[in-house]
Amino acid sequence: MVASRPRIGHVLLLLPLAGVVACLVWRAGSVREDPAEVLRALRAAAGPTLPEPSTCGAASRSEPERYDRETLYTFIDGAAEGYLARGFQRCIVASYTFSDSAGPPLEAVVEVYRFAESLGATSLFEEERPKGATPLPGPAGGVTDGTVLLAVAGRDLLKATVVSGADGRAALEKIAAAWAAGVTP
Amino acid sequence: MSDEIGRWDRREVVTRLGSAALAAGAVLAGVAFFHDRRRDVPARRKVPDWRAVGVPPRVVAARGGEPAANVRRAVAALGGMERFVRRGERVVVKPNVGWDRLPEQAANTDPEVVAELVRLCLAAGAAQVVVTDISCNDPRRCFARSGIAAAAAAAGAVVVESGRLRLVPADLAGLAEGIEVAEAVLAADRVINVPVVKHHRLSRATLGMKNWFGVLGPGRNRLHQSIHRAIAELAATFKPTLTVVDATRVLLANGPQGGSLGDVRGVGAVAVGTDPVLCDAWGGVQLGLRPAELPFLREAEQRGLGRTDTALVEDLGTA
Repeated sequence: MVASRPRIGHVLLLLPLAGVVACLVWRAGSVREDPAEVLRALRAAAGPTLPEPSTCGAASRSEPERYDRETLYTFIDGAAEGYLARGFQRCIVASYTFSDSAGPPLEAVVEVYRFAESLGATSLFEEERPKGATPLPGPAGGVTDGTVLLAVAGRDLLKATVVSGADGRAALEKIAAAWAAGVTP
Repeated sequence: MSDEIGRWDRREVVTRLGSAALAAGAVLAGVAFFHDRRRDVPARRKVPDWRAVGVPPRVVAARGGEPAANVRRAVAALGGMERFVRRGERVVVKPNVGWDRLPEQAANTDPEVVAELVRLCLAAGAAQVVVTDISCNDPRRCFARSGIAAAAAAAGAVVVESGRLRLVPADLAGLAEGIEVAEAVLAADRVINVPVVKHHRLSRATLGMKNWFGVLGPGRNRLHQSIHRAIAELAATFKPTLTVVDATRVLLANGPQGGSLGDVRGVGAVAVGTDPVLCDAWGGVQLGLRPAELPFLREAEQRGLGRTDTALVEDLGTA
């Protein structure tokens, strides 16, 4: 058996393959997105999001729970109908703990509801707005009375409720700011 | 045929009978193994009537004192807990522990009201007092945050969160048909219903008759579609020994879950009675609602379950 030596024809056979590789590399470079933009778009498609604990100064956060139109009543039975009637789609809920060396830990339950239209979110915002609630400072928007925070961004309604005894205004303001910063417009 | 049988010896008979028994056993085992137990329909438990015999329908309200003192005064005015709970009986106290909220947020029954009822039942000779509810939010958090788990346990009750309740089919009619009920409640000799007075976005008010939602298992959400009828039907089914309406704090808006302290008004009152409809009528007044504004009250009265004339409530006045 005689081994044939590489000829110019063999090399020419590799040229189309090299062309395809070059084309793919060029196209990948031209359509590459900003990873942050991609992440934001994916999150927006997947559903409402909660702020990371570190972004709002919380010491910890419970495992988020998710509910949809079929399961919302298992979370807020009795209140669910008002949300469903306004086009509720899904929500995410978690409990945040804020540790402050000056006092006992503060705990807040944070809920973010997504509606089919922004009107659903604003309608509930107006209905549930606590008496005596004042607008939050800064770009986050929303209102709070120190116990309950409400804010709207697009189709999402943020609701945070302090469930430990301390005054929660400072923590609620941080939650609102962190949430607004992470929400896709 | 008989000739053939006559020719079998003992060994052959034993072999054939053994084979037949083996085959029959295999068939029976197969039936038992593959039988779909989900299609078995267990018997539906009857809902007992927990009312005390010979006690007329009355409602007494007390206000001004601490929650426990208000309970004591009102129960004493009705003749004392001994009139309702006998020695050795097993009592269920059913507060509203639906929400992960502090007592100050008024979404749940006040813990001191619950604890005082437990103490009164035990003092009357109850063998056991169980405090239970099927919460909406996470039950462990609801019982802890509301203060009810700690207060009731300290008073001597057995606290059973909904995660530890067994649900059984019960003889429910109307809209609730097919929904399971907490077995601990059905097994009780006496049941004391202890709602908190609060706003509800569907029924306008959630009081004692609505509080029976908290003994129902999955599927109870469908009752919200015809809420006034559902409440009246539940009142026709569940007949408590006593209804204790807690208006220590009243949630005026954003019920049933509440949250904002701005929605809460301190009333400092408790009503105790044997007329569940009148108890609810009194509770509605604490929310600023006349009985005519609550359709479930009218429906319950039409069914003969009680009265709605709040002038019939005996007000003990301020302590």
